[in-house]
Amino acid sequence: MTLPPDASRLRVWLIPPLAVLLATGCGLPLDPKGTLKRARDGTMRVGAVHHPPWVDVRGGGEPEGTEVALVRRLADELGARVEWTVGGETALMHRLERHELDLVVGGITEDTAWRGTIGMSRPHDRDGDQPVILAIAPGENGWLLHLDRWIARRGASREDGP
Amino acid sequence: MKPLADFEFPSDRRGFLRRAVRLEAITIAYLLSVLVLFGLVYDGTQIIKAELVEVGLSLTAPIAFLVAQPFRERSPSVQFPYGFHRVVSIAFLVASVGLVALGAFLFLDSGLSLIQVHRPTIGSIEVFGRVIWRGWLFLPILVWSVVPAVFLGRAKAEPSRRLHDKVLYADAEMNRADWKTGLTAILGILGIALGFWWADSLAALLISFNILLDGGKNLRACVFDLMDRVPHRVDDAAVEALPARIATELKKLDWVRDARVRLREAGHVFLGEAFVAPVHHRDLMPRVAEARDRLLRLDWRLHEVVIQLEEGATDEAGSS
Repeated sequence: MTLPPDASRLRVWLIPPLAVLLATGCGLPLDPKGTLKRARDGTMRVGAVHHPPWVDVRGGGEPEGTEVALVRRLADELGARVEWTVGGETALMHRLERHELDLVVGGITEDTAWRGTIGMSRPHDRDGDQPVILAIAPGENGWLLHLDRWIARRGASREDGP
Repeated sequence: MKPLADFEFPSDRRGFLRRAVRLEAITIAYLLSVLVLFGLVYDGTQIIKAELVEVGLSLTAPIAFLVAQPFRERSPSVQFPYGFHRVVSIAFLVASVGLVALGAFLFLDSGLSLIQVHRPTIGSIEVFGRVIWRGWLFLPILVWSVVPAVFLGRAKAEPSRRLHDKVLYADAEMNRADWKTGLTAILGILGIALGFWWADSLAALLISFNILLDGGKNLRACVFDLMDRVPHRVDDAAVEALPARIATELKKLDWVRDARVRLREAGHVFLGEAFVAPVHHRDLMPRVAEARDRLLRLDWRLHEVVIQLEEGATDEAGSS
């Protein structure tokens, strides 16, 4: 009735694959709501707060501005179609909290009053002395890491570039 | 006013005391390093919040121990005739009350964040030019918060017994059990990585429950100590045998018909009274003095025992 002699070795066996898994990331962390998976070759639901020059919605059609261009480039690389929702910051942030949006742009800075209830990417630009961030749906850690890596890569290539 | 005599650790315990002081100083430095690391990566996740409180709890015992250190052998004075042995119990009591309150708050906070479906957002951090998930960074810090603690806890177990120091013992036990909270936290982080938002609040709930249990246990030990409960062994597993041994020792004397003993613990020393019924009244002064010296040699922790003579106690019961 004794355990097989290598029962205790079972746990030791688990360590290397686990370590490799952790070291490479291997697609982790995952999104509780699967945002990144859905956006890839799918749809990105983005909220746009009017705040020139970051986001300008006066044109009547699709929003324009530097952050809008940024989101389009991101969507292109993901093969995603962008579904824009234009509105006020409070309304859009609440929708973000409820996971009805994946991303909100509009010159939102790191010291936003919404920090703590939403997720924030690393800064992609500056507004005066305040770093500008993308607001993301809370808890979507895989999505957030993807954005952060993309912003970091973009920053690096921009510094090296022409 | 007659204060107690000065207390000195016997020479065979001094080494343990030095070792304990050194271990506690190392513990504080180590825990501060853990605290700083957690502080650096803290980002609003419940798990890291719980770990911060847990480290705070672990800090109370070594700090209480070292704060009490200068008072340990301080001479009793006219103002404090019983000396300063209880300083450590008081320091520990105050710290325990604070931590139990914090543990209760954390427990409610984690429970609430579970009910409110609080989704932990863990961002990224740049390490050597690579953007990695901050959650991975928690894992080595959590391992650092556990492995040295377990070794420190084991190292402190022997001195705590040799010095009859309950604070040191509680500290050693907490350190030894640290791997449980560490493992809970690691599983919580892995849970978040796998996309289970509730892993954060749940792990924090378990950790804070553990903090409450530990804090409650410490609180109980302090209160019992300050209430002069019958002396217990340092691990609280059984009643201390010394009072019974004193009674037996007294009864061995040919002039003693019966003896009853009452002892209390003040920190690591015992003080108390022996009620002795003599067989006859001849030469009682020298006999009592001799009996007293004999008792004080019985155990280094017995610091003072007052011998009270009684008329031949007729009842046979209660002779402990």
